[in-house]
Amino acid sequence: MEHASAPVIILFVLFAAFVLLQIQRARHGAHIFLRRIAGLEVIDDAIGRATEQDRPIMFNPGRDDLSVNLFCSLSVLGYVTRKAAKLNMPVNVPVSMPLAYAMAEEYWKDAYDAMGRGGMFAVEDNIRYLSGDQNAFGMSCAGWIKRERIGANLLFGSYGFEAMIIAEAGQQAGAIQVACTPTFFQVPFFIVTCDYTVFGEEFYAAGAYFSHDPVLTGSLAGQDWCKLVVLGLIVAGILVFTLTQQNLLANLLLW
Amino acid sequence: MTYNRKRQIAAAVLVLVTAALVANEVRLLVTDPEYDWYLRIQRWIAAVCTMAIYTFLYRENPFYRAFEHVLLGGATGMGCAVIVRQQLIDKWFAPMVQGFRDWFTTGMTPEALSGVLLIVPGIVGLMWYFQYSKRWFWLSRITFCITLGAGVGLGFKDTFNQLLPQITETFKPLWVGARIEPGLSLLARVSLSFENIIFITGTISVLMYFFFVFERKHFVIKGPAQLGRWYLMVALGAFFGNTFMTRLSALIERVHFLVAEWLQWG
Repeated sequence: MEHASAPVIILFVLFAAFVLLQIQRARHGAHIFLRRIAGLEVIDDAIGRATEQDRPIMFNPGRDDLSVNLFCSLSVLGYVTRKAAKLNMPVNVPVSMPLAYAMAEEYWKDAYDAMGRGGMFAVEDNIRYLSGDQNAFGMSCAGWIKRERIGANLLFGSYGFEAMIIAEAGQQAGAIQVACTPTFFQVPFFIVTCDYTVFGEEFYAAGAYFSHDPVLTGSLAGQDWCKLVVLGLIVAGILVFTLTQQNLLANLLLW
Repeated sequence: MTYNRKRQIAAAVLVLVTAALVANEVRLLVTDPEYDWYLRIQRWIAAVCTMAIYTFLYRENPFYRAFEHVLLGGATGMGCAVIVRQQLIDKWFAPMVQGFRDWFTTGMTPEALSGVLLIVPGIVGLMWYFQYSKRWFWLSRITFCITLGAGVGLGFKDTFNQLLPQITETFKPLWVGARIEPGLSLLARVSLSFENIIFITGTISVLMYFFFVFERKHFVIKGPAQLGRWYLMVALGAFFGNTFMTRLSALIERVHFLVAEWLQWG
């Protein structure tokens, strides 16, 4: 069995401490600054524009199964659905993973109920399990976007090659599109087809950005401090290697 | 051009294309001594499916819609069959039944126990279906928490095991001296050092781009973050070109199927 080395244990404890400390700070009401992310700020405008055009909104949670990524997507789905419910607008949710269906339904229903619009739109019309197969999912989303003339297409989650099929259909339908994905290889395709693209770790920040939940905000702040430690290690490692011409720090860390 | 006129032209084109395809098939039937009806029907179905999907490039239409649903149904059915046969039966039901059989025939051996214990994930999995009961909904949370906890735990382990080697890989000297690479010319040293500097600035600046809770007011953060953005754009451009080539090869494969295998031209 592979055991953690001493440096891994130290880093593990340090990183966990950072995250827990920041969550505690956020819970006690400390103000945690979150930098502006243009792609996330525009979501309200996208919902507004779809409402003005009287065209439905599509929220696509990608192809994530029960995972952290799915929870990030769904927290944004909750926000989008509440905003749309306030404006009496339907939010269409194509689902690719069976386990994600029940959760998406729960978030969707809760949001409409919270805004006093429960029962305004039928769940089975708006949340549809399409397919776990990438081809079928992509094609079906594209067809749905064109048929319903989607006004705002919000893509939040992990995608494979179907990213281009879905986003291109949205572009052809004239929808305002915001993509937010941790899948680095699909980012270029979203950049060329969507109006706004948020990628990489910004995807994980989206949950905290919309929910202002102390756990999410605190862990985001904690992760930033972890990155700072990593940055410090990198700079130290480079300096030590350059000055001594020996990779001493790497040897120490991998000991 | 009026709507009726457009429809007439579309109908005429459709008739001409169909006639050409039928003529081509007759040509194959007459000239090919190894004409295989079964294979030709397969290729016709594949070709019609391919073209139906490609009609989406023009617009969403009933032809596309029909085949979209065929693919959707087929993929879902296939998915169900794969899960039932390869997961539920092969990896759960059959070993569990074997485990119980061994228990009753040879007693509780470690092999029998490992099979018998498969009943636990089965029950835990079935509890997920309580999602659809308001009264017993809480039971589905047990499955949910186990799944999520196991996923996060395994992910955490992987992250830390991968993180340290990734960090140490970025330790590169700003100047590659004789102690690191003996026997290199000065030009080669300068070139290697320059490569390292590009790599180091890229890593540090991209890392700083993904800071969220530190304000980008001070030039120490603002400058590298902007540089990181440029690095990311260059990398994404390279990815785009690379993936575009892959997609083109997929298109070439389809066109090759239509021309060489279905129509058998050339």
